[in-house]
Amino acid sequence: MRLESRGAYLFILPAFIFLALFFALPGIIAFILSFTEYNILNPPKFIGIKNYLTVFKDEVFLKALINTSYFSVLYISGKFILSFLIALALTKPQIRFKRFFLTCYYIPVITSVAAASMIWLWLYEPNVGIFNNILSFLHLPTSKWIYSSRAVIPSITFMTIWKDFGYSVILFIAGLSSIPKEIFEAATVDGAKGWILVRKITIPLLKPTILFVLVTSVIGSFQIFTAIYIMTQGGPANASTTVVHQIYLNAFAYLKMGKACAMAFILFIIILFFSLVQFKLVKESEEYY
Amino acid sequence: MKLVGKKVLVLLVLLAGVSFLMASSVEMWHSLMGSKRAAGLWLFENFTKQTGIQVKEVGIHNILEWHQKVLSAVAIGNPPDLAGNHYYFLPQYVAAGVVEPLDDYFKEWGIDPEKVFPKAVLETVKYNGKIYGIPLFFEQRVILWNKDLFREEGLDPDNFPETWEELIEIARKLTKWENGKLIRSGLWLPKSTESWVNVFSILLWGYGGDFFDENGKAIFNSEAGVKALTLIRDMFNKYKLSTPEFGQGTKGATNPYITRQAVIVLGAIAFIQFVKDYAPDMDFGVTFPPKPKGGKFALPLDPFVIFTFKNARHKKEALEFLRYLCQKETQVQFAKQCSRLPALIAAFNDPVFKEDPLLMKPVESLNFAKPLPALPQWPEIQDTIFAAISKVIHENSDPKKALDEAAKKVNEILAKER
Repeated sequence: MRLESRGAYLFILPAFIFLALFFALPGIIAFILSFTEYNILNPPKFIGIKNYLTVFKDEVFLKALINTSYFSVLYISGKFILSFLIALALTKPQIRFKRFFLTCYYIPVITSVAAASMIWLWLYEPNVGIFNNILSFLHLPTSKWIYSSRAVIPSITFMTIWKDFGYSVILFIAGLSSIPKEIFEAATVDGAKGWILVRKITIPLLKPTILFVLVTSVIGSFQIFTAIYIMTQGGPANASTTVVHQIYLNAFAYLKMGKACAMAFILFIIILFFSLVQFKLVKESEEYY
Repeated sequence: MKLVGKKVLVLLVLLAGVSFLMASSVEMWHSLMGSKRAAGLWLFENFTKQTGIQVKEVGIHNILEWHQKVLSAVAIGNPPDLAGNHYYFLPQYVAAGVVEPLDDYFKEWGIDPEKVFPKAVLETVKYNGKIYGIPLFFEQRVILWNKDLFREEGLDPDNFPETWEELIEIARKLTKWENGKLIRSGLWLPKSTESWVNVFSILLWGYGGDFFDENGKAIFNSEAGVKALTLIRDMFNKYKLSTPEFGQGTKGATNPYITRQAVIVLGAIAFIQFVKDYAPDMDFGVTFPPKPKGGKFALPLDPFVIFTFKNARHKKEALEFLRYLCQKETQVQFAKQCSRLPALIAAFNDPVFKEDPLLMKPVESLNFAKPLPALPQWPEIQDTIFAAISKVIHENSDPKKALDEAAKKVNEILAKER
C-alpha cells in the first residue's frame, strides 16, 4: 500500500470507528433484536418474524405511518417551495440587507427543538395564544391548532417548517450562486425571462442541490419526534403519533424492545426506498458549461 | 515538636479520609420532586441522623425518564440500591425477577404487613403472594373548590355536592364563556393520560363496572363504562364546563386553579400543596370525588412505593432504609410536609391527618379507594384507554364503539403476554 494511501486510511480511521461503533453496530444489533421478544430486563428470546407481523397488524402503528407520511408531504412541499422562493428573491441584486434577512431565517435553525416546541405550545394555546388572538382581532375564525385532530399535523408542520427552512435557504443560495451568470445572460438574449428562466435554466442546474434538500428533508421528516413528544404526546387520540414516537413508546414505556426494533427497521426501509427513488428521478444534471 | 505536630495532622487527615470512604451509604433513585422535594430531602436527612448511613439520592422529575434510567441500570446489572416511584412501575420489575421480596425481612423486623398497611395498599406491592415494596404515601385524586368564588356566585361554600349530577349543575353556574373563549372553568379536569384514566375509573367503578373480570378479560366497555365515558364527554362537549386544552402547559403557580380561572378542580392531591405554596390566602375546601346518582363512591389509589433489587450493592443499608419507612413517625412527618396521606394505618389515623380539615375527606376516602390494575402491561393498556377517551372527547366518537375497540386491543395485548 502506498504511503499516501496508508496516511489517508489513518486519517479516516477515527471517524470510521465512531460510525461503526455508534451507528453500524447498534443498527445490526437492532436488526437482530427485531426477531426477538426483549424487554431489556430479561435476555432476548427468538420469535422469528412475529414482531413484523404484529407491527403490520397494529392499528396504532398504521395510524402513525399515515400521520408521518401526511406530515412529510406537507413539510417537504412547504419547506421546499418557501426556501426556494426566498433563496431566489435573496439572489436578486435589487434586494438589500440580504445578510440581515438570512440571519433572521437561520436563527430558528440553531434554536433547540425543545425550546422552540415549548414556545410554540403557548403560541398555539387556543385561549391565550397569540395566533388565536391575532385571528380574533382580524375577525377571522380561530383554531384549536394542536388540540384538534384535524389541525394538529398541519400545526406541527408549520412550526417545523419555520424551524428548518432557513437551512434550505442557505443551501439554495449556495447552489444558485454556483450557476454561471453567462447562462442566464445567454438565455435572456434568446428571449427567456421570469418564470421561464427559473423553469428552464435555474431548476435543471440546481438539481444536485434540490436532490440534497429533498433527500435530507425526507430523512428528517420521517424521523419527527421531539416536537410531537413535547407538544402533543401523539394526541389528540393518536392524531399526531408518528413512527418514531411509537418506537419510543414501545421501547421505553411498554418494554417491547423487539417490536420497537422491528418498527425502526421498517422505517429504515421506507426512508431508504424514498431516497433511492429520489436519486433515480433526479438524475445527474446535464453539463451546460 | 513541629515535626511531630505535622505527623499527627497527616495521620488525622488520613483517618478522616478512610472513615469517609468507609462510611456506609445507600443510593436511591426516586421521583420525590416538585411539591414532594422538601419532604424527600427531610426523609433522607432524617434517616442519616437515625442510622449514620449516608443517602446518595438522585431525584428525577419525569417519571418516564426515571423508569428508563432504572431500566438501563438494571439491564447492565448495576441497579441503584433503592428505587422509588408510583406503584404501577413495580410489576414490570417483579415480572423480570430483579426485585427483592420482603416477606422474610418483615418477620425479622417483627412487622406484620397485613396489620400495618391497608389491604388495598398492600395489594399494590404484592405479587404471587409475596411483598416487594414499601408504600410510603398515596397520590390520589381530590376535589378542590374555591370557596370565595362560590360565595361570589351565591352558592353555599361549605356544602359540596355528593353526586356528579349536582356537581355539574353547580359547575355550569360557575363556568364563564366570553366571545367563544373560556374565561373561567366551573370544573377543570386537567388533561394527562393518568388524569383522565383516573377520572374514567372513578365513574366506571361508581357506576358498578370494572376494568377486568376474574379471568382477566377487559370489561370496561360495559354499560357502566359507556355511561362513564358519556358523562366525561358531556362535561366537555355538552355542558362546556372546560376544554381539553385548558391549563395545558401550566405548572404550580400558573395553573388555572391557583390563578382562579378554575373554580373546582378534580386533580392530584398535590394541588393542596400548590395552594399552600402559591395561594396561601385562598379559602378552599377539599373532598373526594362525588358518586353518580344511584351509584357509589369510588377512587383509584396510587401509592408511591420504594423497593430494592436482588443484586443491590448495599443491600443491608437498603433494607435498613425500607425498615425505616415502616416507622409511623417517618411516614407522618413525611406526609405532613407535602400534604399527602401516609400509607401506614397507624400514620393516616394520626390526628394530624384525621383532624386536618383539608385531609379528613381524603382520609375518609381510603375506606372505598382501590388501586388501578397492577399489571406489567398497564402503561400500554392505560394509553389505549386514554386514546379511546380522547377520541370521544376530541372527535365526538361514539363512546360504546371507542370502548369496544379499546377493550379488543387490550385483550390482544394481554393475550400476547400469556
